[in-house]
Amino acid sequence: MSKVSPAKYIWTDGRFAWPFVVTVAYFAAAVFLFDLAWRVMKLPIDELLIAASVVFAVSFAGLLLAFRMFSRGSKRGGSSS
Amino acid sequence: MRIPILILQVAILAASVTVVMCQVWNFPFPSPIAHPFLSPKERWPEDQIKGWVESGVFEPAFVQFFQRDPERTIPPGNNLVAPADGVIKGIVETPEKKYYIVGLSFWDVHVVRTPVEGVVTSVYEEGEVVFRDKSETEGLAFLKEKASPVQKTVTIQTDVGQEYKVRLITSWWASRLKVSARVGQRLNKGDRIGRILLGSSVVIDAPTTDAFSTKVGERVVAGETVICQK
Repeated sequence: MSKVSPAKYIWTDGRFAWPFVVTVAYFAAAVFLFDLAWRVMKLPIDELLIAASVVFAVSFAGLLLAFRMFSRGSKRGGSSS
Repeated sequence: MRIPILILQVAILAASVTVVMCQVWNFPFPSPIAHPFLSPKERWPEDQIKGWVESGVFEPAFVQFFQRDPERTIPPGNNLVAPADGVIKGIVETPEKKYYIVGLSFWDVHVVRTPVEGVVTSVYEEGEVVFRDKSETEGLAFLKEKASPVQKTVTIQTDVGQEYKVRLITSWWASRLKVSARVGQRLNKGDRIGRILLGSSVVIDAPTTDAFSTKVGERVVAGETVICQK
């Protein structure tokens, strides 16, 4: 079993690791969209938080799944990310 | 190939950090990045505008929005049109006059128009003394609930000899009015007569014979909404 350095998740092969870049962009988009929804939808904050948590959980799980599939595909293809 | 990818990644990361920093910096008010997605009222909340009024420093985009002056389609016929955009705050009748009060919000067009066709006979200014205590203005129908007697009054005489006064009233903390109508000038119905440079109310002093067709709480559009059939 090979050990992977945590730094590898951020910086690899002289550039940033794509999962790191995508995750940062995802969180920025999530903050922006939550703020926008809060201003536009006029929902009570508790209802908005519940709805946002569900959307966040589902989309974040989808993102992790995409990373996993991408990682497997890369390994099969022989390239490293 | 590695360098272009790195540049792309840095750009994505920088954009992401900028978005978050803008959110944090502007909180609790919306970030400028969110402005295109919001209505004017959501884009510039009342508390933010009040803060600008107190500091005297306004966001340029808000100033541009506030200074808009759209064209209006003046309805034909023998009628009175609304003098300003806003909500009717009151229609007060006294033995001598009827006062038709339109309240403007920060997000309304602040160009004031004449409700009738006629000749300007006087432009009267008040407001040397700014009262900050509501009790000092009690009893003045056109100043109900408003300690803001900073006003300019344009008197217009119609062709049939009726006299209408249009009062441009502003809040004590804004205190800025601009009247473009001049004494002796002939105005067509719906013509521009001035601008309120923040806040507050426009009042028509009309003859008691006028029967207004709009109700308190209704929204009117300057120069377009017919408020009284003659």
